[in-house]
Amino acid sequence: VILLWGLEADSPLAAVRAQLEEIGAPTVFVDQREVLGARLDDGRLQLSSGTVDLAEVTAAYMRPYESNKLPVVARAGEAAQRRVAAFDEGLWAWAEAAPALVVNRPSAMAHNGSKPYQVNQARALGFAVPETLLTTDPAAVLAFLAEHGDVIYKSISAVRSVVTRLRASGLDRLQDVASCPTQFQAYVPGTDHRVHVVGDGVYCCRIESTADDYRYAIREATVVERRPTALPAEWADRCRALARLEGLHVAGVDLRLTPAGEWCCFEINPSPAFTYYDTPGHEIARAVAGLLATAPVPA
Amino acid sequence: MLVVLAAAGDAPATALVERWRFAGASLLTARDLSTAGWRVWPGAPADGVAVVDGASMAVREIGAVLTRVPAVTTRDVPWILRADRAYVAQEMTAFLLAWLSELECPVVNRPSPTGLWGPHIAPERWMRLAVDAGLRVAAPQTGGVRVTVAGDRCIGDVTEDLCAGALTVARTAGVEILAVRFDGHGPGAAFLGADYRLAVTDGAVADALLDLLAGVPM
Repeated sequence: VILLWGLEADSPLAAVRAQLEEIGAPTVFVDQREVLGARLDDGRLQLSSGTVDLAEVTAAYMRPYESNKLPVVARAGEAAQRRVAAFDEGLWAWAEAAPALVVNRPSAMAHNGSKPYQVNQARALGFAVPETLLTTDPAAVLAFLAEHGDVIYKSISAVRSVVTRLRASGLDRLQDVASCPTQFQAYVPGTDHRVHVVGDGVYCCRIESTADDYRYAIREATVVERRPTALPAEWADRCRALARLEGLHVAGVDLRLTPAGEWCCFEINPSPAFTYYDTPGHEIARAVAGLLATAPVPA
Repeated sequence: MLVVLAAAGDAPATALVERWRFAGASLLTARDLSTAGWRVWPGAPADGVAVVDGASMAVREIGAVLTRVPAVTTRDVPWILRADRAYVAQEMTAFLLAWLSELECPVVNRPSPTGLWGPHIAPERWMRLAVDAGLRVAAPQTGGVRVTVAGDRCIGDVTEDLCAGALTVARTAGVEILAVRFDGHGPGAAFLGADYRLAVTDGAVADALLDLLAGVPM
């Protein structure tokens, strides 16, 4: 049986679930909205829909949100929240150690906890990477800006942040960097590409946008155009190698093709919201479902 | 210079730095990460500037790092606005992972994405490693007789077979330093667990760590 964990409304989870249903693969859905009634005892999941022996799970797709931020949990009181935290911890511990194919294991996803750490791995595999400064020193930022002319800043950790251009209007806040190391990068011109690696499959989407961060293009009143494109075989291989290096069965690799023809790597997302980039034929969702459905039965 | 990365309230780490003062040891805490002066260029670690114990220094002057924390937590940054502490703690942890993983000097343990002081390994996994090392195991529990692995050296009042098992567990886990606990001193005592909380106030442990960091053959 294939275990799916998350919220019904989560777009990637819903897309994979639909594809699994279409091919008739047996699934069990661990609905986070019902977490208050769920139990995990001695390798058995007790859900409102029945009991699941985790030893029978051949593959799992893990897309949970932070349980304590769900309204149903936030309202439930401290004792219930502790129980939910223990349930989540138990299921993640199972995901780490299970012989099943897990998309993705917590230790593999942890690489995304530090973007410069990830980018160093990409550099080692031959990707171009942006010139980067991590600093608490306002003077160093000014020197970096003077050297590169066009600079962006963004979070170092996995906390999602809007990639922002460093502009003259922001320099009056520069002293704030002394409080916490901050990541600055030379702006890399070019065209964004999101590459999804699913097992051995590689699916590339070209993104046309003039926004600093196309994910938030609407804030800059700009338009984003996406279309599937072929990634040169050499770079597809490198994306596969990068996902494999991090232990990821499914990954979203953020690349930018520069005017000089270099493929610059920014980040590897271990839990990509791929539906935004998927084709009308749901190619990526089908690939993830296929990967889960064909996972070998653990010995 | 030897750098000990620890929480500000880690008294054994402070004592260790005092003991190693003659070797140029200094304490690096989260407070240093809230101090102007850090300059790190990923891909060129030796060119960077660090802030250790409040003072800026060239990264190339750092000879070794001993890490005593798995991550920076909200408790480590009380001077940051409460609403921002979780974010700042995550950013500092992410920064340290990137920085430590690139240093060319000895860093023990090498950082992992699951822990700055070494890879997070669940109790059940430690048990599996112990069984694979030929050790008898008991249910995970705290306490017991503690031995310390530092490189190829095992420090503790246990028999040779237990030391050999502890060294194998550490080697299989891919770590250089490890505290291993048994339910006795003698042959056949059971493995109870392992972690990275080393008893650095023990002089023999401190000396072994210093040798390891200094690259003294063991």
